[in-house]
Amino acid sequence: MKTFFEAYIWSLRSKLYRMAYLWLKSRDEAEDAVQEALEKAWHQREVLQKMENPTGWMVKVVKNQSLQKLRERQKWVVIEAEDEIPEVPVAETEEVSPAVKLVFRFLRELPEKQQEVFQLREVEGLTYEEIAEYMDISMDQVKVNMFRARKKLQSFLTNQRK
Amino acid sequence: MEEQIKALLDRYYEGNTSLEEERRLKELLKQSSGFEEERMMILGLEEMAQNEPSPKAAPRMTSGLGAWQKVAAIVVVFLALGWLFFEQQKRVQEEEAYHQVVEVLALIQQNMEKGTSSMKPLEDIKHLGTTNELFNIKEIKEEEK
Repeated sequence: MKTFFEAYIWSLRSKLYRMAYLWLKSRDEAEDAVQEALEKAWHQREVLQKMENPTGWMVKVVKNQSLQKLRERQKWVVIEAEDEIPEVPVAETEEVSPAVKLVFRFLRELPEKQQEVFQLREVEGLTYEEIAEYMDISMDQVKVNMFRARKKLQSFLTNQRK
Repeated sequence: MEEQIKALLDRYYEGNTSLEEERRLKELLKQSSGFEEERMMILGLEEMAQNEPSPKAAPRMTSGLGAWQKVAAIVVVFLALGWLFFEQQKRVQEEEAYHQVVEVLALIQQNMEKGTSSMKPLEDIKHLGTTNELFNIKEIKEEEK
């Protein structure tokens, strides 16, 4: 029988990894950030089980780990706010197709929250309710951020055609 | 198909589409020859969704053992150690007993040798098996008659 950790937390691994990749733009670092977050979760598994929103907690921990990784790269990245993920370019060592480059180019134009909402909907295919849980925000905030992100997508794609 | 895509795209940009409608829109865009930028965006998003971390197994409870199982494991270890100690003691005792027996046998052998050496003078008469051979009893008896 699967434990709570295996069934619930470990099953988030792929989605968390893709979120970390969105922030770090490096597969290796994204994997490390998720691994470190999962290790923390493993030690806290009993507390996590009693939490109201363990998914939101996991996303926050992965985000913190990603921020930590960016601070380690501080030579190249200027971090303006303590808990905000700065926009970083895709590492040169990363193999990225033109289609993914286009997505990243668009995401760069969005504020952090809109990027995350957009990714969770378009890449992960989550419902608004699930996105609210992941980001630990209200449904209204999800809808507002989603609406703004899509409006920007519309104008971005229109500009691409020009 | 184009009309359908346009209608869905309008609803999509307004944030009014359901997940099911969005899936349909993506399928239509992939089949369509127009809407190049939208198609490119969808392909990029799909590619991002396939980005997976390297496979790893979820950590297992190294201590999947409960408290009573730990106690049982400790008891088994102690029993095994106790048994080994007991076996060792038994072997030592057996060895001691063997040495004692060997000593006793050596002592007996020594004493036996003493006995046989004091019997040496009898060696000379060992061939005289009967008293008749030592004393001429027959002749003595006849003389008496």
